[in-house]
Amino acid sequence: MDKNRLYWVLQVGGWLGFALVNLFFMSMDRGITAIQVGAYFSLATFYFLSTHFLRYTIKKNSWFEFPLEKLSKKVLNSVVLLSLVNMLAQIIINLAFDTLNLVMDTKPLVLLVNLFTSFLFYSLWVLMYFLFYFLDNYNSSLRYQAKINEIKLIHLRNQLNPHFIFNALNSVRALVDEDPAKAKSAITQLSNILRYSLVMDKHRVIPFGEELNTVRDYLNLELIRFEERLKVAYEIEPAAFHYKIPPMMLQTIVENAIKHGISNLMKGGIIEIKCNLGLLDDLYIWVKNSGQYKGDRSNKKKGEGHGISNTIERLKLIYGPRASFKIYNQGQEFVVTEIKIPKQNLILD
Amino acid sequence: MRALVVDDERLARKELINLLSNHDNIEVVGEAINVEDAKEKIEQLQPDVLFLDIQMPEKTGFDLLEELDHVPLVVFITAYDEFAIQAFQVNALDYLLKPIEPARLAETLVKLERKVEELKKEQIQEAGGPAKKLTLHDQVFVKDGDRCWFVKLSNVRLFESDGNYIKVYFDNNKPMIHKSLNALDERLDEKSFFRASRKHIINLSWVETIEPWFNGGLVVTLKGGDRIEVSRRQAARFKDLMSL
Repeated sequence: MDKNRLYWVLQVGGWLGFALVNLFFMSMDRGITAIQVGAYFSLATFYFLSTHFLRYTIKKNSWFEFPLEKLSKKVLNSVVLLSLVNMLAQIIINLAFDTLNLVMDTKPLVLLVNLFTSFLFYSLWVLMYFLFYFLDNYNSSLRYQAKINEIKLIHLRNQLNPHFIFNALNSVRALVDEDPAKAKSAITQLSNILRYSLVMDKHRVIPFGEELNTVRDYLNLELIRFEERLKVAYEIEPAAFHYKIPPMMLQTIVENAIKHGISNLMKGGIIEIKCNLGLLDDLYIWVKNSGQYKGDRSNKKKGEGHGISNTIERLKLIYGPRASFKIYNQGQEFVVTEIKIPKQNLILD
Repeated sequence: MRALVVDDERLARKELINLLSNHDNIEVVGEAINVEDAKEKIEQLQPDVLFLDIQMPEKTGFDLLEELDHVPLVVFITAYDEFAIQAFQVNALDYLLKPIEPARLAETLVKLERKVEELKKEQIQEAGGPAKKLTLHDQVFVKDGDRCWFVKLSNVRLFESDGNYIKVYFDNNKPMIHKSLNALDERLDEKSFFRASRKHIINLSWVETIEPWFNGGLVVTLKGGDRIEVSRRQAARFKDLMSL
């Protein structure tokens, strides 16, 4: 049901019920008069108007955006204030219907009981109002999370580059006659990559060594395909293996290096992967490849280039401002991609 | 049938040649490793058919076709490229996906053979025409943005120069190719195509009516309604050509 309609049904129905129930018990006790009906309906109308005014205030000043502590204080204050006003209203209503008993109705105890009763009713109202709000909100935040997951999944599926897989399989098919042993190891490497890409999305970060193994498998397969046109070099500081990094990140960078670098060069080129620790124990990962980075412009047309923005986004989500990503040209022949991964903290897994 | 295999990867070429070696009706006369290499070998070997990989370094298979004057039959090969497949599905003779399925390749070869037969018949019919010139039966490859076509020259009614480009008019399309009208004029068979003016070359088989115009010029109306002015200098030649 529409949220606004639900509110009106509950608001009207609730306070009407309040008046009727009160009148019912009153009639059981000492019979019912027109004056009592008028008085109780007036009181219910006052409740109706005052709570509606509270809702208006809550919405207008967007109380839902306040932190919990501030929100509770505000709500408590307003409930107390409304109860006081309500207590006065009861006196005025009695006065209007000429049922005011000056001696009885101004006794502190009676006033206190009236105050407390209206406090209870207002609290009940506030409780229900906020309960509905938070339940509804919880629902929509679940939907939001589902959407995010879906987007992530699409991203991941795109990352598993079909062009690479089919080319690799094609090379392997040719290798079966030429070098069966090499063909066998290529099949193993390909299945390693496929398996890794299927399971890795369960983790925010994984040990550096696991990612590096995948990258090695990947580059070995590309070496089969490009042969003498691709040269690969690694320079990994042993300390790097103590770090954890986001899965598929280095892999994506290396894949881009092949796709936009090596595969566009007739003579081919090099890929160098270098990892070492910075002064503050941050892990620096450099990937240097032949080619030139031309910025996002040239890629936009084909819907590519979201590899980079995706990487930046992921680093930001996981490490906040402590990680960094850079891509720049080194001279006329090389592109360098640099990632800084901050020293690990414990809450990451 | 004589085939040229164009792919930058040695293993991919080897795999395809290996698959083709199972068929007697096709002979692989050469391999090319990039667009420049392919251009030379096409010139030199005159293959009937190209097995052409689309993704190659620096220049793609499409670039190669655009640079060729005379386009042989083409079978495209790609590992994975949805857009390219969409683009050439309607126009190309066929396309193959890597890794190539032997049964699928056999089908392609049947289609190829049929097409080659057809072309031979056409060529016999117009025997005596000067070799090396583009006749109505030749096809050109035209790419405009994401779309591409193999167009038979008999379907092209008009070439119009536009800066460094030529607009090619056929059906309801007029994509541009990067060429000069003079260079094209030299390559076209003068029996079928006529240089009407500095800006236009018309296909004579599309001419519907001819009317006199100012200064001794002519206006030609093509089937489909395009009206083209023939300059005074060319008008005399045109009259000679059209009269018995």
